[in-house]
Amino acid sequence: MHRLRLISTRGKSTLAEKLKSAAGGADYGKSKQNFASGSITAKDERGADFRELYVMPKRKLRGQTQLEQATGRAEYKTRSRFDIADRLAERPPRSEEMDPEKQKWSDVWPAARTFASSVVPLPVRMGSRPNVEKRAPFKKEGNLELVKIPNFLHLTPAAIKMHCDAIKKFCTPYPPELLSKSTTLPIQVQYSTYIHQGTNIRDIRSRVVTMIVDVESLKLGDVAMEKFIRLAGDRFDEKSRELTIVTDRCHTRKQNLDYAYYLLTVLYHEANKVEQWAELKERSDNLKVEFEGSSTKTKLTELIEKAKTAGLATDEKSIDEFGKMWKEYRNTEETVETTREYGRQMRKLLGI
Amino acid sequence: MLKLANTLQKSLLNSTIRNVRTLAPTVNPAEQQKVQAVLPDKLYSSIEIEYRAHDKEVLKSYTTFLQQVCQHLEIAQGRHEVLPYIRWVQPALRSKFVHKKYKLHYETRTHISKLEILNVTGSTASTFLEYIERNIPEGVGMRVGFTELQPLPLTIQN
Repeated sequence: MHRLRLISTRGKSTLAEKLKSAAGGADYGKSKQNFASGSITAKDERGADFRELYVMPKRKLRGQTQLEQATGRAEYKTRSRFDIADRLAERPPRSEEMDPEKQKWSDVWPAARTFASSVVPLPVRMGSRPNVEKRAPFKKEGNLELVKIPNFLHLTPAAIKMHCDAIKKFCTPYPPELLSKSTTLPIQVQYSTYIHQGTNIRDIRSRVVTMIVDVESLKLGDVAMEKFIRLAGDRFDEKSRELTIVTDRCHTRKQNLDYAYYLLTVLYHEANKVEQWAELKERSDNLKVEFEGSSTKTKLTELIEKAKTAGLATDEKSIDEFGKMWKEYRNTEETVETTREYGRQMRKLLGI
Repeated sequence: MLKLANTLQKSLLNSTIRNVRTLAPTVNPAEQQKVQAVLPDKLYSSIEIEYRAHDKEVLKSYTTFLQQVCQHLEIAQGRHEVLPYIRWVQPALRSKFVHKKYKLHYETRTHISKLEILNVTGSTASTFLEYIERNIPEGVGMRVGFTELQPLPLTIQN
């Protein structure tokens, strides 16, 4: 806060002193006398202080000053501005005093902070104008739009390099022998973490765990594999031979992961168990229709014999290929291509 | 038969049946059967970083920052996707009274961007993610999806 003080020419007024003396009484003048003459205090015969006789005020009188002004010999006091103290206290913006040779920008702006127009030495302008050619957007001094947006002044490429060099020692290289899809790590565990502003730092979705197991690594036999597929149901994918377990029934991620491991363990061990009632399984209980033991195969072999006797150039060895095609045809959705393939293979088999 | 009924009645009268909730017996994790194999460090085949904001320029700047960090820390980058924004529309009536046909259209756009990081160890991942997460700009939310590689559990013996 700056107070504006009027510099008065009548700074030394005797009236004030007179009033003080009127109030002070006998004590007045002692200090003055002491100051003027040191420690000697002049007193009259009665012991009272020496009071100066008033003749004239101790200043230039009006007539004298007027004469001086008229003749041009007046001493004019140069008056400085009333706000000179404020104006001297004002400094130029910090950006004008910066030297890129001597200073690093990362020292000026080390962490994220709101935009300060006096600190940033760039001639940035921001604002929406109806005609940008005629009037440029508003300058940075006092521009609220520049303050409102997030800035990346603390993350210049040099600063990023500096930070990365500092944290690089905590990084470890990935073992190169594990880069390809390895048999030692057949399980993929997927989970998420969430970062957002709010009153709650937690996110309920982070407890979900997805476990993808490569079933080939479990090394199950044929019977065990079939039982495994039956138990797994929708969780098993035919094409990729992967078992996917998604758990979120527990409260924490760790608990869900333990539950997923438990499910995998149970599936594996149950698949390997052979129950007594499994012996009652028939051909009609198979998951897929097999060519081996089908009536098609028996009839086809008879047909090939008849064709041979008839004299057609049959191709017996391609019956396995036919069997594969037939299994695929029976167990997948029928399309034009599969039907054509069936016909082609049949004609090849019978030598038509 | 009568004797049996008598003894039953007696036991019922004598015993005070109260519904008492007892705590589960305390479990010592050290004594439990070990399930997961212990590895020296975690291994991630991929880490997917999905970040969302209302300002797509902020996401663009953040993407360049992420890519520079990957280059400096020598982390393999996967794909970078910019997904279409999610729009939330809520119109307001233009007039104070009547005129339902005329509305003011207000909408919110959430822009989404994804970056994938491949083949990192646990220590690299935690270093990288800590640095990334400390420098998230204002108004950006993030989801980090981990794909960790693990061996078969110890409970399955091949």
